[in-house]
Amino acid sequence: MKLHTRVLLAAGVTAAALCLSAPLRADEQAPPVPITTGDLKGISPPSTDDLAKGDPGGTLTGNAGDIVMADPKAGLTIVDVVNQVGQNRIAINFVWTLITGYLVMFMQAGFALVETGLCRAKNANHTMMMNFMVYGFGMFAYWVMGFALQQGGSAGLSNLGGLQSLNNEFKVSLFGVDWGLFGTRGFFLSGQTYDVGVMVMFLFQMVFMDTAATIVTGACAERWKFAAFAMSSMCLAAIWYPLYGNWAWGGGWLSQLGGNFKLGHGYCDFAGSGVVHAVGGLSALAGGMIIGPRIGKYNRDGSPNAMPGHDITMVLLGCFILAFGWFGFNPGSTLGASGAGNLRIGSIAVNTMIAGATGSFGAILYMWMRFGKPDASMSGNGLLAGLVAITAPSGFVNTVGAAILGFVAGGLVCLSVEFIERVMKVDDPVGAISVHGTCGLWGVLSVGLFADGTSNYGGSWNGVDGSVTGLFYGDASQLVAQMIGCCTLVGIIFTIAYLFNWAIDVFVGQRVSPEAELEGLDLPEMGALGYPEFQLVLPGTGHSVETVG
Amino acid sequence: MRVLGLAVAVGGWMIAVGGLLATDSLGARMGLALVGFGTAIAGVMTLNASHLQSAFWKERQ
Repeated sequence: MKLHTRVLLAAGVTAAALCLSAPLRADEQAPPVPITTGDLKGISPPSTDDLAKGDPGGTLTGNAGDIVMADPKAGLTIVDVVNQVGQNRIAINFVWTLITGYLVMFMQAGFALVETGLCRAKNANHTMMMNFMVYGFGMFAYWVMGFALQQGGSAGLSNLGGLQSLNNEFKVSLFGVDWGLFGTRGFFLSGQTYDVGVMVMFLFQMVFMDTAATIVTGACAERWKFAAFAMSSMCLAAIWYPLYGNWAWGGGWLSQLGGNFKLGHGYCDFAGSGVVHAVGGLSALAGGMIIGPRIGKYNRDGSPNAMPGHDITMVLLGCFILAFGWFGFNPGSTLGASGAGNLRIGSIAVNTMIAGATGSFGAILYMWMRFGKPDASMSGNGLLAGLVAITAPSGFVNTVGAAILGFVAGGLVCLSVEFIERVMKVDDPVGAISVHGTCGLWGVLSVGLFADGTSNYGGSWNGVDGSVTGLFYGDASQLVAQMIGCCTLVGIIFTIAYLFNWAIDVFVGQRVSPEAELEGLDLPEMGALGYPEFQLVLPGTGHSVETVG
Repeated sequence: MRVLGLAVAVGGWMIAVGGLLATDSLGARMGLALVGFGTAIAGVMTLNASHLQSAFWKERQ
């Protein structure tokens, strides 16, 4: 082909391409045409006769006739359509948040089974009752004042309609920075907070708080006076859980570390590795120190004795229920499924299941290598450790990050259980301090390591534009914000929990009598045995518990 | 000794937060946050040591 022929051919192809692309470019640049009320006049919904025939294919149900009209005489208007779209978004988010909240509430059943199964049969009624009543005690205190302290200044959450009535945060101004300390709207959910959106928020936050409260009952089981348990749980629900919740989630000072000190997006805790689990775990540590170990746990030389639980089937069933409930815990923490990047709920749910699986891998591997057997209770705790660890980063990481941090948590929980039992000599019958405290702190830190910068919940987080990004993806400042959160948990929240439990110990007494402990707490504390038709025999002795007691 | 342990734990938090006010350097803030975390843990361990001093199991066989 000659040169001029090739030039002509190329020019022709270019001209054809330009001609073809011109209409497309015109379309792309055309301004959007607004819909008007006039456009809606031609819409005719199915007639009642059509609908009366039934709709087996589902093609007629749900149409323009179902849009609520402000003035039926005027017919359907664009205002009606727009309002319906807005309400649909909020309705989807309400339903999503409520249902995931119900799932989290069901986790109480999982905790009750895990803790009761890991305790001895002579304390079954008492342990189960603590798990049962922490729901009521905690909820009452949280309704009276906990919710107001935590969320009373958190107005502006568009997912639930704005929550504009939660509009007052108590702040102090120090060193040129406002430090939000607690909210002041929502005591008894009365006054301006008698609001549909606030009610949804309360339900969801309440079941989270109850999760933290029930962690303590496991660590202090088999020797905790029921009255002291009730008081301690109510104080947690009313005071120190809401305080940390406010600092992290309610617009408080930790959440503002990004805006005030240029530390990433401020402290980020998507679903509560810190707010729920570390607060619960550190409260359990404080309670465990004060209340002391069970009789027989430690020999005079300080070596520990194993005190196996009475029902491993109950434990593993409880772990499964908890894992199921976690699908409410983490994906539900978007507080919505519609708009503002909330479709990431799929990623959050998958991260949750993967980290739980790798957590159990990590624990089973550790136990198998160290002791030659895959320990069932530690496998369960490994699953929970992975779930606890993924709770804070679940909304910010990818599946590889979730797998790694879950696996690390599985090994970490085994190391922590040994450290707390053998070095600190704090008796924790269920491993709650390690599962929730240690792995909760790890989860908080892992946001600062593994957040991959792809999440986009409405374009900003904690008032800072862009996506949360951790050290491994280029932002070291986020890790510092997470470390400040960890310091606050250990330095402040642990201290408050300790002081309140110390006061309860002084005025009420935390521990049952040695006689009651040896007999088992079911009769002395609760007035009824958990298993009245069985004779409880001490392993290896052949003697009944009552005889020895 | 219990009060000392609690004071050290709170002191750890103060070191970490003080670092935010004292410097704009990210490395220095991270270093102080690490020191603060370690100090807070040391406070908890001090508190625990005070409990172990009077542990009832040391007196029982």
